[in-house]
Amino acid sequence: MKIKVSYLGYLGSVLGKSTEYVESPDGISLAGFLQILFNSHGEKLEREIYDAECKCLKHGFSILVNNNLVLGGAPVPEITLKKGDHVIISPLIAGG
Amino acid sequence: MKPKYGYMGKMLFVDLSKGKIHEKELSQDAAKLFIGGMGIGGKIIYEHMKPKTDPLGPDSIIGFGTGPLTLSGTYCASRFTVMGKSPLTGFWGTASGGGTFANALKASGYDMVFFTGIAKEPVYLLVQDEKAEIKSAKDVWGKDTVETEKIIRENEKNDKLKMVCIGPAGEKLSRIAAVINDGGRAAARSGLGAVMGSKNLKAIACDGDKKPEVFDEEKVRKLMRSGYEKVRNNPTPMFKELSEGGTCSAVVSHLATHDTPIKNWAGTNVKDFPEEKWEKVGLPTLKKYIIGKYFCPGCPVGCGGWVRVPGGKYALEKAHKPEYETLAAFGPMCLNDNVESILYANDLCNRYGLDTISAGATIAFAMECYEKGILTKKDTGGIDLRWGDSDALIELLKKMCLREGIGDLLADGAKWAAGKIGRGAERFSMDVCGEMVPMHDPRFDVGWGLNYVLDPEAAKHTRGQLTAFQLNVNPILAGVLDAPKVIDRHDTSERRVQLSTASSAWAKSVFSAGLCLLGSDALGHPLHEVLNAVTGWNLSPKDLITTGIRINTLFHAFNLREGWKPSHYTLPPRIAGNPPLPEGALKGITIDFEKLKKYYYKAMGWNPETGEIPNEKLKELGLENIVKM
Repeated sequence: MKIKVSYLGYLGSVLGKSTEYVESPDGISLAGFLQILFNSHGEKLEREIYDAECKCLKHGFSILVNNNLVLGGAPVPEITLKKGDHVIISPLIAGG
Repeated sequence: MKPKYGYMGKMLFVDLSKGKIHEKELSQDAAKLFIGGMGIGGKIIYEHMKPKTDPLGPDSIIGFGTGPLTLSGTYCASRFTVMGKSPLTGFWGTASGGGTFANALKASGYDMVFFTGIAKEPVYLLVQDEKAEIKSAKDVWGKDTVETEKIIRENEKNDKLKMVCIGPAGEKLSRIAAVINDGGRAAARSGLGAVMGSKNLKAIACDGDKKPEVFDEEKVRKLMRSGYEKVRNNPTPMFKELSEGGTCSAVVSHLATHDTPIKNWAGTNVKDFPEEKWEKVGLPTLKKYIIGKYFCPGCPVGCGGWVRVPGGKYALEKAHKPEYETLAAFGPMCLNDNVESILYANDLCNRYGLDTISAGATIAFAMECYEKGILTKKDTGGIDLRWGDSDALIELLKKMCLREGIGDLLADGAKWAAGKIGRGAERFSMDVCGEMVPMHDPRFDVGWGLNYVLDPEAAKHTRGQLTAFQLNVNPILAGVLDAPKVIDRHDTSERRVQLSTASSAWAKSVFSAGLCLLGSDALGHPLHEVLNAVTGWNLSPKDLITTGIRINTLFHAFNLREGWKPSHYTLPPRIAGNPPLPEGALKGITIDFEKLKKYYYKAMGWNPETGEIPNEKLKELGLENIVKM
């Protein structure tokens, strides 16, 4: 199945693209899908957003999928992706 | 005795009715109790302004303050605070501004300046090298803020003058008028531009080369160097985002999570402002118009920028880049996805001196009233005020800037307008006590709502909460409070309110020190260490929380004296999720903020039911000789 991924803010500049469609197995978990992205983008993405030790998104980032908002600092929760899902990965700032 | 380090040790008091200026020493005791501008200014206004004073009358006092970190060599320390009784809410109000003014005020020889009275004719205050003079502003009255700065510099033959001023909106006493500096930096909230206007005070222009003595300059340099090297080698996401595009970097992200309100808080990011529109009002589109970035003095982040719209009906030669709040208020709030019109609206507000949050939110209110038939084409002077119509939005905004036609009605914000319109219009005013609610949704994160109704200043989004904990940008504060690494956004427990109370207090210490909240978060300043190096004090992180609680308690005492009751600060039902949204990320969410108020009053040591401050609490905070309950 194809999953749409958006990289917001400076992540788009880091990766050289702000949107892509990624082929992945049916029923894949969000954590598994992140590994596909990390393999595809090499170190750049993983180093930027992921803390492998605690299996967490780093503080200051969020992932939004199907109205589930995953914030950095805690292990990536069990979320199963389905065809047509849109995964939005974003650095966070507050205020302004 | 005046403080030796970190301050100029002098304040100016200007009586505009009498045309008199006098100096007063800044006391060490006040500095230690309240740190700087925001807190000390609160004390002075509380002590010198009688209860129930008309905020636009001669006895009203307006203050402008810097902090001990201003001109101390500390990065991101170029903020000033404007403060007084808000003509919008009738209670305590402040606004914070960046840019070049704070440094100039302090370099002219003074930490703060206060005004009372009303000048017979328009004037500005000129402060140069410890000399202050009231000058005629007749030739700049009616001019916009960009022209005003230019003319005053030319008249004074001093192109180094930095100033704050008001535009025509402040002159015409719009209750949503801002104080503007650098042609587009805004101390926008609380309607304090109208207080300047009511005093016939057009501007304060400053220049000088004075600097405060710093207790340990080498330590300050070391702290700045190590902090900067840390973010340069391993920049936080917040530092990168702010450097890349400023706060407008956040638009698409906030729309995706539905932190951004849509269609006067009744719409959703599914149906009303769907995904294909998000980038149209965000940085990806804005980049086409950005022609450069700028840094406030001593700031390595550089979130400011310049835009140019090369042609068309919204052409701009060179204007300030809008902030997130502005893009949201004139964009999704009004269902407007024409970014050029938003850039144009931002420039209009900067030049005429209007708060962009309040102006955008008030136009959204008017659009809803028009949709519901409460306002008609006859009322609008022929404007077809349909949702998303960018031309109608600009036409209405121009009228608000000049108080023409329906613009006169709307120039005081939606609540004041609704009171005059009647016919049920008040249901569509999304304000807390008159202050239009900023562009972060409490249904997305309860923390925003806590700020809006619990802080002594209604509806402010810059009073700490989400940033400190969710983004882990302030590990010192999180450590003191033993805060969890991740906080449930919808948590309404007493513990959550306690954390919010402490982070709001911390933010008051940041502002009072003269520091930029976003800059200090992006750089991770160890605030207590920096303050100690500058002043020679021995503050702990806990002391900064206590100081912030003291400042908040003082502001709250001001409000109580004005007749404030807990019911004054209440979220509009729609914003609390009553009724809940039918779809999208915020579907079905309703929050009982009334319950949370009691937790807050308890955390502050006030009466949980009435919000009154017990005398023991005043004594504990060292306020017993200032505040009388």
